[in-house]
Amino acid sequence: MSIKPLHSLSLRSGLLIFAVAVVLTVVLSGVVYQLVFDEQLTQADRQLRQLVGTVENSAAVAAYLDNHELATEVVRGLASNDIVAAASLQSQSGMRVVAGDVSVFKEASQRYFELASPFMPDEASGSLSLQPNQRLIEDNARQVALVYVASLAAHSLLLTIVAIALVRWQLARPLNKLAERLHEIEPGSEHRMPVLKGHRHDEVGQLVTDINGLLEATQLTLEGERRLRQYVEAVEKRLRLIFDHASSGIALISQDGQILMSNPSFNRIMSLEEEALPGASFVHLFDDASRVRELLDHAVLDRAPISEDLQLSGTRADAARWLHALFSSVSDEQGNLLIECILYDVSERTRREQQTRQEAERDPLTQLYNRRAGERELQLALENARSHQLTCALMLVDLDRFKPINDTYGHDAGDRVLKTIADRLVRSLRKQDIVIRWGGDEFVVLVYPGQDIDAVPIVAAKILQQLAKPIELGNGRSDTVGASIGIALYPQHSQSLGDLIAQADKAMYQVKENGRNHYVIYQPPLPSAVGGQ
Amino acid sequence: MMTRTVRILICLMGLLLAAAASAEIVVVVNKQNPVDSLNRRELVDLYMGRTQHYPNGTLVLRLDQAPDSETRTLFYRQLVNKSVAEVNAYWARLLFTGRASPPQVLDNSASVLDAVRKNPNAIGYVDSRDVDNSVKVIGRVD
Repeated sequence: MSIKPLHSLSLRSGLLIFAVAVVLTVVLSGVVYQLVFDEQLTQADRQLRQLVGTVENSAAVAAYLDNHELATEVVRGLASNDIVAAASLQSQSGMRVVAGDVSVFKEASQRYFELASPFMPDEASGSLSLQPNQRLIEDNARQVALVYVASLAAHSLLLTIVAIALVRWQLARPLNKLAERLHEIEPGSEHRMPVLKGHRHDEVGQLVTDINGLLEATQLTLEGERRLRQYVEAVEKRLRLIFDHASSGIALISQDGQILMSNPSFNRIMSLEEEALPGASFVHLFDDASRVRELLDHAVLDRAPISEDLQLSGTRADAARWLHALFSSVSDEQGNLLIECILYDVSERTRREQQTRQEAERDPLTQLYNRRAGERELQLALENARSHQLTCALMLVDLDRFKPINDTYGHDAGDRVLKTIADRLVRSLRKQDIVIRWGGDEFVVLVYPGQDIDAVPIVAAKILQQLAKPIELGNGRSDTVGASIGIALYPQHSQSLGDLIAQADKAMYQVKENGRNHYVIYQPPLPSAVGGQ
Repeated sequence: MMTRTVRILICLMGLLLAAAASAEIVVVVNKQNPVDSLNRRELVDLYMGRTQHYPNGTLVLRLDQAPDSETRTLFYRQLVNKSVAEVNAYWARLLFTGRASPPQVLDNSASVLDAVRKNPNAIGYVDSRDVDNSVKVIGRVD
């Protein structure tokens, strides 16, 4: 036990009882002393009066007769008592007889008794004066009072000792024992308190029973908590494992776009240094920061997960890093809304998709749209034109001298011709214009001249001019190919792609028939002519 | 007439009855004694021994009746309200001091009257019925 002796219950209660007993004894002693002392003085006074009573007759006679002898006998008798220091008898006629120590007579402290005449009760015959032996009386009174006080103190001391012993044996000792036992018991252990002998049915026994109940409850609680803690730890470990080793980047983001916590994959994907975390800005990691900002706001407002492919900032278009990010809002313990972000690198997949699309849509030789993809693009372009009320021109470009060159210089030269033509077409047109390899030496071009229909012939002439230039065929050889162009206009000629192509084809054949290397804009047949044919 | 006679008779009878019921004690001295009267207090002081002289300074001779006489009993009872035994005790107490002495005791009233007639300083007491002109009454005790 670590309780210091000075703090022990038995010593403290003992000291307390002792202190109270001392105080009470001192106070009571004072009162008792005073009471006994006063009583003793009163008693001495009564004694004095009784003494006077016994000699009163003789004294009265002595005073009446002025009888010196009788008076002497009376006062001597009185003075012979030790409580009387001196006595004096005076008669009416002036006789005064004194006995004892005359020098101690004091007017203030002497006792005076009238003596009546023995035969005339109404008349005085003289008086008796007594000087009490005050010192002796007080000494006696003090002595008696002291005996009382001493016996009171002894009584108190005895009671105190008994009380201390009882407290110690009935309370302090069993409590001390209980405290020691309880101190040794580890909370949650199987140990219980023993019932103390002789205290089975009293408060101490009740205390033991209750403490054991508490120990039982504590043990159960602690065991339950330990099991729960182990379970939580295991789950946490597994979660940690998932978090740390997930291939996806996982991060917790505050509403103002700061990274609060992130897993290693996240940091790797984002190329983030550990030191910069947490607190790094999330949105500025992306190319389109405002879009990311929007997504975060949506995730918070809609309370629903939202996902999107996002491009990382600082990457060139050809080596773009793409991430698929999923945002969902979560609340932390304080009720603050946070955003959980799960992302993984989809750059490879995106690139592959792009490549696959390219391979499916593009002519491998010229990298132009193939016919199938081209038709789709054209369809989209027409829909776009319709919705925006735009005019566009569909041109069918057919090379004039491809077959002779292919036959003369071989397939490689033919391929070079096609590549060169494709490049020249693309370069002579604007970005939004569409160029398609329609067939072997056939190309379809869709241009947007805007409101100015007159721009169409200029574009056609420009294309013809470009295609008429000589083409390097390798080994110092070169030749010119030239082309015939048939043009149909949307929406003037038709709103259907098939019709437009057919119309352009018709116009193109018209050029072929009229000496090639030229362009013709489709002329719709006059209503009369239609009727005439 | 009748009424007046009756009244006188009743008065006389009353006087007689009173005299018989409380016998009076008278204090007597010699006829030559100059003292004519003594009050009660002077009588007490004389008989209880406080003074031995008449007021004029003459020494006094006190006379007492027989110890068991009715006169003596009555005298002390009426003078100091004490029994004869108490008065005797009083004198006994004073005896050892040698300073006071009790009155001289005589056998009867005749002896007292005789002594008073013969001694000019004597003083005595007798029943008023026994007194005669040979002595002087100076006081009454009742």
